[in-house]
Amino acid sequence: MRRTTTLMVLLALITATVAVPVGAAGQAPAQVDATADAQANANASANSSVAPGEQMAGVVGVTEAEFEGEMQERTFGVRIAQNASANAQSEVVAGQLADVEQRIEELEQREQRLERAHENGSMTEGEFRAEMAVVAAEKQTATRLAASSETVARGLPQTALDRSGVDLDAIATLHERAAAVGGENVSAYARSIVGADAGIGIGPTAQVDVDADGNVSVDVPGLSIGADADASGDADAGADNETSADGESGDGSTAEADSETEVSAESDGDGASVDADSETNTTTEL
Amino acid sequence: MSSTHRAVALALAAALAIGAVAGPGVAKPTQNENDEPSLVVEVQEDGDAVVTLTATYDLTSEAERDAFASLQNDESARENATRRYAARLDSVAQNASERVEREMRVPADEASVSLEERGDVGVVRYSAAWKNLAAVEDDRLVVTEPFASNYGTDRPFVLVAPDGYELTGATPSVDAEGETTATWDAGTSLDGFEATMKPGDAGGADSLPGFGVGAAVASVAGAAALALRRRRSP
Repeated sequence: MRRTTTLMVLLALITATVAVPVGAAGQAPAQVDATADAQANANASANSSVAPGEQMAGVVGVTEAEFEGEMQERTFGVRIAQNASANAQSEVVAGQLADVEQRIEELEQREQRLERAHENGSMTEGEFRAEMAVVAAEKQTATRLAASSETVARGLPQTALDRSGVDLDAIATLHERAAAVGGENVSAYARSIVGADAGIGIGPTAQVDVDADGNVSVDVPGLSIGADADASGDADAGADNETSADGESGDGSTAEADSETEVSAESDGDGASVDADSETNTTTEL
Repeated sequence: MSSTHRAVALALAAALAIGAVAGPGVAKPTQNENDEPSLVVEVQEDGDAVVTLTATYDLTSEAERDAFASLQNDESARENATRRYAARLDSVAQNASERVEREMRVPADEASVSLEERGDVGVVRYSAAWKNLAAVEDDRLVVTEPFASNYGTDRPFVLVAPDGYELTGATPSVDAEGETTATWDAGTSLDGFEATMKPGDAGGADSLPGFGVGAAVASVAGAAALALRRRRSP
């Protein structure tokens, strides 16, 4: 059986019927940012309990955490796309869920430490809010990774899930744990530091789609990867899980794998440029 | 010295040796084009500054490199990241303005985000112009907020004086100082921070004893390496 996974270049969100954005939890970043820009100033400035230095530390932490989250979500999407067989995708999901669980445990422990420090007075209100803002950003990443993992898992055959030890009920539990991180006030803490957009994906992010037949496809904006592979050695991985974004179907008789990344040189006239004149070093500047 | 420390030291030595400062209104520092986590504040003679946050990410797998490449190519994501960075710093600036007798601000149109792949490390630099960050008192430049009010840095904090200026006083004590740079190590509390700069003698001799360029490179390299390990090995 031949499987084909194609990762298309998309600079806009696709409009598939069952589309789960890996990064943005369904919110349009530009709209969120427009609102957040206004709220950030109001929230932070109005909150006299946060000193400028404390707020600055929170901004640094959240900014870095958000980019790291974006990287992780896109990396997950790429891994799914690069592994065409159901078993391989199930292994990717299993690994991702283990990582998400560890991340949630770390966030829970960090939250407890912060609560204790805040309560015993060793941490100021502003320091506490700044640290919790970072927790909020990382929580958003964990939640989205759990959601996208679940989306992929639901498109995979049970045999593949069983083989990788992926438990859909356990994913639901992870969702609940992630939602509880930071308590009910964590979003408010984050707003007081960076505005309303803490932890929200920074762009039109990778999307995992599952159609009515259980076919999984992934789209990562800004990336062109062709990954063709068969299910060799993986024959029982589920004929109902053929991964396709281009309508191809295979007979399973050939074994080929091809993956490439294209970084195209371009200039859009507004100062943005992409240089990709070497194999290992590329630079993009707005 | 390990290969990691040698690489870090070389990168920072190159960065510190450049000595140039971004011109007014240009949020693209030339001083900080190293590939180590840091927060660099490049002060200009008029009190404005360029604030650059550098973060690094592991690119050890093909999937991670592809993900980073996708962000390099994703103009919308980079624009959002740029806008957020400027908006958040502007919020801090407004907060800080209430503690100093001048209006600070961070214009959205003077910010930028760059992504660079350096082998197995992805380097992201957020830069923004910060108006009136330093107080101008005759020929002196004084930096306090937004660092004096309990800013704890998780990465080396580097203050860069305008060309021809020198650091004449700093609280807390700097961990390393070059001709126009002063560095505080990761983990330092900058509560009560104050740094004063004045036009110096030709030749730019160190104004605070005990720190030369060599010491600066060694100290910053060690601090940066620690921060790098923490970020890349969570």
